Amino acid sequence: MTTKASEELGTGTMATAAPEHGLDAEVVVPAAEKLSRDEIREMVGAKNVMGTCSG
Amino acid sequence: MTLDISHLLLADPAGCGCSAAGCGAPADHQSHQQPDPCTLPAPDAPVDARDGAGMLHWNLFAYPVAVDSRRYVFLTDVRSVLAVDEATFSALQGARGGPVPDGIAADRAERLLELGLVRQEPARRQFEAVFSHQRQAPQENKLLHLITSYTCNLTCSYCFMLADLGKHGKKLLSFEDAKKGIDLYFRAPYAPDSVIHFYGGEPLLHPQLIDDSLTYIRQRYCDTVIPKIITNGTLYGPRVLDLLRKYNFDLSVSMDGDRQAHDVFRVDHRGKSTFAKTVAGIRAFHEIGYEPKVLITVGEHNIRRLPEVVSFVLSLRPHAIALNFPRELPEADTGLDGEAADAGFWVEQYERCLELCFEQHIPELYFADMLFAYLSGEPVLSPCAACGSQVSVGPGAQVGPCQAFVAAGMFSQPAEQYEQQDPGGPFAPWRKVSKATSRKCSSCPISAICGGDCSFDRYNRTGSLMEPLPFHCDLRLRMADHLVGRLVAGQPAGFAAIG
Repeated sequence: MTTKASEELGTGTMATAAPEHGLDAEVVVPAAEKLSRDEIREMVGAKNVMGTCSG
Repeated sequence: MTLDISHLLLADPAGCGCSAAGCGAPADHQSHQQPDPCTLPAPDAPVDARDGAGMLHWNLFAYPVAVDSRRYVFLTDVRSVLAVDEATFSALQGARGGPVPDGIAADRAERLLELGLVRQEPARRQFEAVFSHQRQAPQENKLLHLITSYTCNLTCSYCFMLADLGKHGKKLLSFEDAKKGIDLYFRAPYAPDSVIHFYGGEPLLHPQLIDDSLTYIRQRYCDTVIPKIITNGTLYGPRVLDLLRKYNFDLSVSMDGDRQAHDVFRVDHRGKSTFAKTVAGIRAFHEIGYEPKVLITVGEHNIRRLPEVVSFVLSLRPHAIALNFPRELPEADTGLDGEAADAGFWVEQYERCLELCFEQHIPELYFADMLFAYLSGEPVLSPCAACGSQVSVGPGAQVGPCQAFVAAGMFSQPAEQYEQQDPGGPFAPWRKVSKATSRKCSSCPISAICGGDCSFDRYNRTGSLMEPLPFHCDLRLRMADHLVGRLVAGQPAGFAAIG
């Protein structure tokens, strides 16, 4: 299952706790879908991140 | 909270002192002397002598993050977050992709595998798999710096571009020399959205050169390039505004905050304040439709009031800000060597400012480049653009990979001698600088999403291009912590307002 990272992701999205294994763990933010550069620019709110170094 | 990254750092290697894993060469070995780094392969995760079929390894990219009392693991390779128990959290601290201890129950091992907390591949193969698309991608130029001049109407004593003026016979970039640089940039494979960055000194002292250069590029090579300028914001007369109207520049203004912070270094040739002019410049740019970015040099002059300083800058409604943390600057502004040597304080100040940026929906660009890696799922192997995708051209047609080094008279050569693949040229050492050849980066769980640091700063502080500086690692790790905090709280990862 993949989910857009832009969506609000609450805890307990996928309950995977398995106490009988002695391992208490669950996925709370599923693997993010890969977004296009345009989608990322829109989400991040920045057009371009190259060349930020200045003196 | 002071960030402890000691578990991520390895002891100095034996041998020549270079960065590569397993290098046992003596220190006087010629091929191991800087600036030509060792080419032996990294990564340098713990070597498991029993490595073989059936052996399980911790996920190299599993980054344990504590948020309040809860324990999480950020899998930066697949970009997911797990809530875990204390035992798993502790086991992953310092694991660096090392072997999972013997004796683990089969059903537990199966569950760890299923969750992605362990892998069947050893760390080296995990690293190679995550960065495989980068290794296979054709190399292309993405960023051309045209250093228009080594002159400026300001005299900021911390400016790394104007620190070595005595090394330069020519202070101005002629159009003829600019064309030489442009020709050699476009002779190699290049990205159609290459950034053409006019740098200085103060580039807006030379609007005609900028206009001529862009006309030449568009007519001769490519009309989809992105023109970019970093200016001090004090020049906004008719010629400058005409130039800005003619092209859609990615425009950045250097400004160190409010009047008190800005005027410590950013003064004119008479030592007078430039604060009011800079603010007026930003407003003038707004009036013709620009939303400039504001680049803030952070140092001892503004670190203690940084949230206040950033609040002021955000009130000017920039498109974005960048917090340029201290480099080894010519004047006493290196910060980390002084009273404020506690990197934890600097990192905390950064995080406070990051929160302000999220509140105002204005991006901070160093966090933004981590978001680009996280959201694209395309990890970047280079710690900076100069490592393989950048050409910088300065007055006298001096060419090199990094504009700061060209200005310093290092790692550069005349354009006539330029050959990007020349094994003896100034570009050659930079091709070996990558997360794969860094001991720290190749064993760091956030290398898949880390945007890197400044090679100029690395070299000035350590004499080597190869390893990131601990402070920058602290900063990047805190960014990853912050990202996890937002994700598990259900907050948007990006700065943009939603809805």
